Amino acid sequence: MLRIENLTKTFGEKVAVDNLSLHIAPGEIYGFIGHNGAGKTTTLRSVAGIQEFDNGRILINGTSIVDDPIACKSQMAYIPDNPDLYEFMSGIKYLNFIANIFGVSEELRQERIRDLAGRLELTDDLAQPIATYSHGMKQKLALISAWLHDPKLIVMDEPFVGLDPKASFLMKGMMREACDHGAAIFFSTHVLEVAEKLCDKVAIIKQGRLIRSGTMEEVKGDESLESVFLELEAQ
Amino acid sequence: MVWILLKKQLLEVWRGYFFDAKTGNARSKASTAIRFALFALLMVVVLGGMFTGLSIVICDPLTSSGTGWLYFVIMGAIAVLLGAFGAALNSFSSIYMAKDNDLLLSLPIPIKTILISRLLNVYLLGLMYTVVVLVPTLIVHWVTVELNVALVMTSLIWAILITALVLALSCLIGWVIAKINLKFRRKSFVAVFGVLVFLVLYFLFVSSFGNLIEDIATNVIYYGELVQESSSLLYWFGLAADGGWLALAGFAAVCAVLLALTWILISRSFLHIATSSGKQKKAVYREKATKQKSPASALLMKEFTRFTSSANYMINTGLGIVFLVLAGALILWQGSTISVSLHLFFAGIPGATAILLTTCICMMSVMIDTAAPSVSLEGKSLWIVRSLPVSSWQILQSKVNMQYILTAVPALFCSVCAVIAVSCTLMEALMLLLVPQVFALFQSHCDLTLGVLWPNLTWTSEVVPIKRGMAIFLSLIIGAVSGLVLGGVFFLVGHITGFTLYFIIVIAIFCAATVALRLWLKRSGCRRFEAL
Repeated sequence: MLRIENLTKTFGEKVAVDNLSLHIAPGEIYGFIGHNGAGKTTTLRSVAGIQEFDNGRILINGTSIVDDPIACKSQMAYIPDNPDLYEFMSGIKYLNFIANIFGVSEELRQERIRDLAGRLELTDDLAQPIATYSHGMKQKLALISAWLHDPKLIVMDEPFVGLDPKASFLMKGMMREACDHGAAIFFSTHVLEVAEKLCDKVAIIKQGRLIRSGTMEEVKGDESLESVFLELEAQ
Repeated sequence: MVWILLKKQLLEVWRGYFFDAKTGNARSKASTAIRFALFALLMVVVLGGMFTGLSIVICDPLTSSGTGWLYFVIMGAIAVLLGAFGAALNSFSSIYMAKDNDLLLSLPIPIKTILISRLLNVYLLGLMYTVVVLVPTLIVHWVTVELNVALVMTSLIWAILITALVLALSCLIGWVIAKINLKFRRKSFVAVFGVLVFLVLYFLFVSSFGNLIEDIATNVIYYGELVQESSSLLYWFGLAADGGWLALAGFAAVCAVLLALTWILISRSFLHIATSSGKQKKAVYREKATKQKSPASALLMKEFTRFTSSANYMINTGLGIVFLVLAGALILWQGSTISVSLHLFFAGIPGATAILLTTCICMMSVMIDTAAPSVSLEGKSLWIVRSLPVSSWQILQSKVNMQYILTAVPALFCSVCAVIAVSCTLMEALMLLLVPQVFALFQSHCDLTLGVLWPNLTWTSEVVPIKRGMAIFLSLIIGAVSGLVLGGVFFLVGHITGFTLYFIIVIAIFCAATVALRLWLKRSGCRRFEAL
């Protein structure tokens, strides 16, 4: 579903991502962990097609994000670490805007909005302007908008930040459900306990370089993900 | 601490002059100097020149007849009006709506300090407006009358007090706007309505101002006695600058009390207003079927929602819509009079009436420049459109289309009114109908080009890209120059080319310029947008 080959991105003299390669198959939840400034967000933004990169290839379902960005973007959804949404719109207007862009039919969008907003308990606030939303509510709205068009690849940067415990629990269920239906999820997190329980595969990045990746068992062995991560960070 | 906060705010206001908004790199000294020189040109030469002219016209007749105080009443009132209303919307945006209010309130900074830094910022903007009136007022007065130390001192202190009065008034107006903003649901439209009412009053005042000044200059004694008898407050206000120490002390006391009251009002309400979302009823969500739209119309609707959600955006970039509609109605109403006057005046120049009316319509269209700040207004939400399956050109096109629709429809209305009301030939009618449309197309492409070339995505108050961006500044200049050239060149070469050929050349030039800009936007413009 997602293949990253030798991705390199520099900002001035700083190498943010250094020759990074990853492969994420359909049905996989892939965790991406690393300290602050390790290059996670740059990688995720490059995958989402909103960050130009210097070298390498990013293929979504076999299509290069550089050669055909629209075909790639129509198959995926992206949620940044800080969901700055259109504050001048109401929640429902924003969802309809996203649905229109992705060509979601009237019936389908109505059904999905009802289902997703109901599950995340946002239905009563959909008519309110986004400017009045809390961080958590914006995060929930961003989640609904991401799930609205049934994407094949979901890319998320720190998706659990700001969510209340119930919403976090629901979201984990939604992630697993999406993958069971064949989608792939690539997300960054600092919550290693969540990553350990939720992810099928995990990649650890340090100073732009991939230092370990594979299935959860391959990466952590008998230890906890936290101790492996701290050990690798200390090296 | 106040200085640090003020420096941060000033840097935001003038950032475009020192740093490239796209790269964040510092500009060269020459580039910064050119920017400041252009700004100084606008403030000193254009605005300052206008008020210097007015001062010269009225100073001598008023001072020579012993009513120098009336000179200061007139000029002081202009300075107060210009400063207070010029800075009012800024005071509302920068005091209550600043996006970094939450951040600053969370830091160990006393609220008083935050507020003082905000007020200093409002003061500096008000100062900028009042100085262009006050400096020529004082200089012309000092040159005209026989100077003494007392006169210089009182007029200087009076001018300083006026800047304080402007601060108090702009803060009070800003406070009223903030309260309205909290009360009303459709606040952006309420604000636009308020501004339109103000503008109508302003234009009524300006339209009779010339005659009034002329009348005052010729009937100095009569008006002097009239003001002195009917409004002693105004008399004392003028006398304060004209060597009246007692009046000056009174004026200073009034300013001090007003400033103190403003401070008490603002410092007590700031936290509540800045952190309140208003006493609005919660909108109830009712599920209903929504018609599916194409991505292009969804993007266009997004632009329209952005436009109608912000009073600042509508007032500063859409005022031409109102002017075009009002002008159309005026032409219909007074069409025969306008037609007869223009035909009499330009009897020997065929097509002159059509050219003049077309120029007027185009000049009013220039005041619709929504595309210029539209790229900057994406701000931190830029990731949304960038991550969606739409091309950069589709995103840019929606911005061009909105400005074109907002301009073309009222311009067409105005053109049709002109064709109906003013007797013209078929070619003249065609010019009146076609040129404003082609001009609107050119202007919308030009404005978006400027928006792509001078983006600013890091603002904390939307006023920054809407009012103070280089894109919006150049948009007005280029638009006005293009409009003036369209009309002006006809009177220079029109007799050589003839009306029909001139009309064809104008259409061809604007079409060619539009095509060139469109091609640039589709290639380089998209690349620049993607690199933001």
